[in-house]
Amino acid sequence: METILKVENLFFGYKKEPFLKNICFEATRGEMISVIGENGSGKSTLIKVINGNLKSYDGKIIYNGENLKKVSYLRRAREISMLYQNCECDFPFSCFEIVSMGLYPHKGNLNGLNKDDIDFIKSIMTMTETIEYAHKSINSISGGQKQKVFIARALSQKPKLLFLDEAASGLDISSRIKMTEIILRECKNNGVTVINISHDINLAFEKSDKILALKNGEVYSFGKPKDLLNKDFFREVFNVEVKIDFNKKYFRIIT
Amino acid sequence: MNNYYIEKKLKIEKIKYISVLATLLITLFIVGLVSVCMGAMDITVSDVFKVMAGKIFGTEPNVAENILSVIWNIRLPRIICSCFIGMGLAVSGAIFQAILQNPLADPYTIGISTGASFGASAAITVNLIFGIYFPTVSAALIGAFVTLFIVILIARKGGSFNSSNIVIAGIIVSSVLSSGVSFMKILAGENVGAIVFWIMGSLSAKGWSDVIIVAPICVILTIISVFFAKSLDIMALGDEAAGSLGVNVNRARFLYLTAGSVITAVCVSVCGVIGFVGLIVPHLIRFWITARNRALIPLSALFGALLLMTADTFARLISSGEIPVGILTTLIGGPFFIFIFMKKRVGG
Repeated sequence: METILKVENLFFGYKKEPFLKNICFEATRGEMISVIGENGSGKSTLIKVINGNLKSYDGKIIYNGENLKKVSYLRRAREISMLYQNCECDFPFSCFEIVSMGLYPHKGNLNGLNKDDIDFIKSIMTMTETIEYAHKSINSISGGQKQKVFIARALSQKPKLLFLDEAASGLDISSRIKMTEIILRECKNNGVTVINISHDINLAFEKSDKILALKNGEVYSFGKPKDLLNKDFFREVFNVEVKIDFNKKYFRIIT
Repeated sequence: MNNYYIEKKLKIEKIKYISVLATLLITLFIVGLVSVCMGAMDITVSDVFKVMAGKIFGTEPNVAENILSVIWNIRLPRIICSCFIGMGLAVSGAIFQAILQNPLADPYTIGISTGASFGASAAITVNLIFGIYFPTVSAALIGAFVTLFIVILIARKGGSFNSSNIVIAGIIVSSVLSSGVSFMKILAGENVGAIVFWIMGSLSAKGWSDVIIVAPICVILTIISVFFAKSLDIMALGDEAAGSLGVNVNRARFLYLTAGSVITAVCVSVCGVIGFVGLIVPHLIRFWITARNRALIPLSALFGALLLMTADTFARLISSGEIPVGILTTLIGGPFFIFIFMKKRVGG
């Protein structure tokens, strides 16, 4: 399997104190990795460092065989996409316009949208079920609908590597399942690697290929969900006692 | 919903944009023409055409000497000046709103106008005290650019070059400079009126030399902004998202901040502080037509030109003493803005 992202001995700190300590993990093509951990355990910081938003880190981040620091700004924008927590937009752009912004790194400042681009955006918006309000202003729709538009925006960037910071927050149960399915389909069909911060532990354990659990800025464990699924894991990572309900096909984590 | 719904909507938007652009252009021309004819001296439209044709083709127009002089030396330059200043303020308003990610920002948010006012009032005071003549326009320009420089310096020291750092730096510099202006007023003593009138913002007695200062800068910077307008759109998503979409946010913000400030600086230096055009015009266009800067900037430019030209014509006609147009725009623009704001809130 082709390794697309390799993080080696990553340290990062605000001020002097290291906040992320000695992070190591690997992601292969088409894989979905869920990052879990308590609030403040460093999940968002980790993906912001890998995405290049926070620059002064120590250690190595290898993207597609190259040091990520050497990958140009534009290429990074064309291949790596990120959905941030609490996306907001104060200006009344239409949802269609927001989604089409994902094509910016591919089109540049001067080129307008051609027919193929419009078809592509339409297909993304149909898939994410945002097409019904494509021409409404982003400020006039509900929080969950907005979130779906921003997910569509992240997908329209045609990424090879996609970071999601609590993408499903604010979505109702059916949208949450649907979004997870869409994202999984992107992984399996288009070979997109997804690194997903999630608080929905059940969904994370059920759908992800791997789980990266962080505790106090360190990797507590990294591996397949079924290997991690035990009471001690939750006691250590989240400080909670849980009951794990194994069925024939399903399992459920009950707190 | 049929499959071509999106295409249809996009086409409608395009037609709307072009028709509004054309309407604004035509209205601008008509209002300009009417404005030249109005004033203390009655002038016919045919006289205006004769003078313009004469100037363009280099022939001697068949018009009385005094009418020619009023049209060519007094009214036309003033009206054209009002166009470019309205355009400049509206465009720089649109730019500032985009880079500061705040729909309520305006060209004066970061204190460029206060800097220009300080420069001008210092020049006025120094000229009075020492009996020399240092041109106020140059002093205002120097004041504005020094302010921009200091604001950028402070904002950069604040770590990243983000919008709140720029606004904070602007507020600090601006309040220091407005005390400076007050100090100049004290020094000017009983001649304080000159400073007060300068700051109020007026277009009276503007000539071709002012048009030459304002027009090229406004036009060139507007065209450049339109070319790179997409990156302004992307910035609305926030710094981090814009960064991961390939916009070098710090660089883009620095360049646009400079462009917007230069436009503001020349406008304020020529005519003083004319309020509300830069805030209200982009806001209304965004509300009525589109938020896409590619279309928003040209439409704002034309609408700003139309608005200030109309306002200045009224300022000219209302009283023989001439109310400074800056007072008029704020007096009418303020309540109108409140009205729009309330309506928007109700409508969600």
